[in-house]
Amino acid sequence: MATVDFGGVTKTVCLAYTPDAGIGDYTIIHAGFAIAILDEQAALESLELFEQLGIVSATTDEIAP
Amino acid sequence: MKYLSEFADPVLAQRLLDEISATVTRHWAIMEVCGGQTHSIIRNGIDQLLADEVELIHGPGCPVCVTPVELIDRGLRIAAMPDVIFCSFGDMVRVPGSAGDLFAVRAAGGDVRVVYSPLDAVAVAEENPSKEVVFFAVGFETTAPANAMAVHQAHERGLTNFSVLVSHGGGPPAIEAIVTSPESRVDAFLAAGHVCTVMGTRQYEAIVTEHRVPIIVTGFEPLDVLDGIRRAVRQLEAGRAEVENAYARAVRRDGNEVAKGMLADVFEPTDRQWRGIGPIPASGWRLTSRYRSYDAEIRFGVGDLAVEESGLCRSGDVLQGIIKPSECEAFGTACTPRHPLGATMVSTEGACAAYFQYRRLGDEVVPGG
Repeated sequence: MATVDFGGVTKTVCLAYTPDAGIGDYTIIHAGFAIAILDEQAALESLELFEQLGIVSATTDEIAP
Repeated sequence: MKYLSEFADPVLAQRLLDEISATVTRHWAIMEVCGGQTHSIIRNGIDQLLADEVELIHGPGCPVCVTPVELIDRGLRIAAMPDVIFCSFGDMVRVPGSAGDLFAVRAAGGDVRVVYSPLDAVAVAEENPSKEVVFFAVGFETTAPANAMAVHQAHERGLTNFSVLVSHGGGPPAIEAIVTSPESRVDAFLAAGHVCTVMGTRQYEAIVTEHRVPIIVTGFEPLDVLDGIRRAVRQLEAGRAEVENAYARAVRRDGNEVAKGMLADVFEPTDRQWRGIGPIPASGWRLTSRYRSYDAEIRFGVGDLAVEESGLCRSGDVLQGIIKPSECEAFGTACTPRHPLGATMVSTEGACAAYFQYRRLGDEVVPGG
């Protein structure tokens, strides 16, 4: 069991399904269980992709007749 | 990185919307499977911001909503028994059975308790050895590992006064039932990201191959939902049908192997009824023979209870995406969150509750509706 901070509210949750979770990790908690550890690298890549989309779209708009 | 506010950025949301508008050339109907996604879409007005060509159909992914009324009646009957403590997640206690709900049982003297985690129910059983403690194990694959652990722990601790009323289901058979339904208009699916944290994206690979329908594993924040839609539209316009992961920060192809191992130990597939939809083969779970003695339906002899549904509520049509909630005659009049006729108006994941809460009362134009 571990203490998890939900943006200010803390709760005790079970880490049996995320044995690799460590102090400072962000997790998805459901029904008192951590079911996934969030991957910061993947999150950053998603945001970067959205940034790129905007640039690609803007460029396309400029080229369009 | 907080993983939440970054995925609600309005500037990036507009870029995704622009990208969708620039890609789409014709009408596409995309079903968001999960009720959590429905609420995100309605709360953030995503359906109103999208290009007119993109119609969102709200799916059946609300476990409370699809729990059959006879199972709720079985729960009500058990909860009213003397020397029973009936534990449930919060949103199940207000879902109407054929006569009353769990709150009514509590008002009449029944010991009905709301718990946050199924482990809390196990603790109640340990603290009350002279009582029978029953947990209403409702949920899809996101919740099932927690409930499986509760049964496993009760077994490990030798608790003979703990049992579960199981309403688990989901998985590819449910999506397959929608795909193959003659009334289905769905061109692509946004699959429930949190289900996939457990089950992985691999489980959908056979469906996209067999039925040629794109499935995008999608998260819940506004940018997640928009990215799911963007990827679905891109696949549809290109004539592709693949499994794509638009929730990579939480979902891996194989899911959570530890949780899946526990699920396979405690549960096995079975046919099940979906409230408002009907029977779907192999879409539910029951306890394996090793844990069968923890089945509350068997322990309390309520398995044969059968009932009829009310005719006024059209939650079945809502759950299949055939109508929008505001198209139901009872919506907002005979049926409100205070006096719900169906579970879709009760649950925090129900489409009717989302429409009511965010004032989609049917007097404005719902895109594609």
